Amino acid sequence: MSKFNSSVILVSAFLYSIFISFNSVELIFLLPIAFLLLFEYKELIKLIKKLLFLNLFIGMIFIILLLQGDFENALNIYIRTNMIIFFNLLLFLKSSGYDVVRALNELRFPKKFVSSVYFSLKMIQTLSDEFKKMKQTLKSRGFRANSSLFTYETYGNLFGHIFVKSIKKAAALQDSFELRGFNGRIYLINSSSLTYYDVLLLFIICMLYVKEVVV
Amino acid sequence: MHISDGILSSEVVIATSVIGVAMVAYSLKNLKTENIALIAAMGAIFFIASFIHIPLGPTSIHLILTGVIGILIGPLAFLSILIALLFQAILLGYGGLTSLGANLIIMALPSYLTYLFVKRGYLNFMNIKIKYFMIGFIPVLLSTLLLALVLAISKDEYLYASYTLILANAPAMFIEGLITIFLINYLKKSIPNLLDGVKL
Repeated sequence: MSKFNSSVILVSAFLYSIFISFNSVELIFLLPIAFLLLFEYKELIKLIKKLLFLNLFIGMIFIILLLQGDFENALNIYIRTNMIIFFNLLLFLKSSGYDVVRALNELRFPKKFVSSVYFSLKMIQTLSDEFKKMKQTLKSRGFRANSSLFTYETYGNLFGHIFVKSIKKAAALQDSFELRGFNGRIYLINSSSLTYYDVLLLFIICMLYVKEVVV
Repeated sequence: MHISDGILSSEVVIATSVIGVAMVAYSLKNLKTENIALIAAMGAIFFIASFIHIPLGPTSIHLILTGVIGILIGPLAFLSILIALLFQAILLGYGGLTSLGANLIIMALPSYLTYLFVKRGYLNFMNIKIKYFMIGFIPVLLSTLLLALVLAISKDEYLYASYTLILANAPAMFIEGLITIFLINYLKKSIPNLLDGVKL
């Protein structure tokens, strides 16, 4: 469980992403990251590894800008993109996804949207388990993926199987909706209480906006 | 094929976000309670597809499956794919929050267009296997072109990156097309009337 309120996490992620995306990098922008690191410093290595893995697309943009001789711009984009990703990774490190559903519900998103997000998450969990099982089965049968038509046929059938499973699961879910009188709305327990940590996080992010306007 | 935060210009982010909101509003307007489970399932498939790496010589690619998702749920693909993109951005760090609108256009618009092409019979002049191939090929092609376009509009400096992305994604279009042939064949054998809505 995160130390922060679900809605505060989601709002902070949006505010920080918007702010950093459209400003040139400054040292003070690291303040919210430093604040979150106070709570998650034990996960630093794991987070850096994840960040490096996510650098493929940004790295490509960086190199292409660099080749065009635009070093300052390339570096600015590279750093700010990594700052946003790192901040979001820190924020959602302990998220199972359901806190996002709760946040959307608390932030008064349309009820059908919240329900769709909730059931998508349920389906992601179910299908991930299904996929792991199928991968095990293929492995135990000695299947080795390579660039051949047989491999593509196997993947085609595998995805076909996932589609069929998911459609059947969706139909079963739909039947249970009807039995329970589901009207498009799911009822969640709201935990709207804010802690000092929430207020402090929002304060730090808002200060970045204030600083930008004032200076 | 996801654009990260901090890459696009503010004008492009605002424009794509507005278009993205309109697309999702259109989906929500068309969404009936009985379809919620199905769009959740399709969103989950889109999410999971990003984990499955298909070998391609020394490297690998991952599928997006937006063509098949499109022909199954039509305009609801906007909502379904938005939810998957949101989770990919939040839980995995793929894409981003300010670029959510751009990524939605890049992924979901080709899915919807493929649905329209198939439903209106624009691909009917083709051999059945080529038609299935195109259902996989077209969305990846359109997504790549949209990705290149969004980047090129955003900053002149991204023009070379756009060309590189088109070249890099070319093999993915063919592989997605090939796999889609087998995938649709499997679907038709398992649930024969599943694709009746798009006359497939």
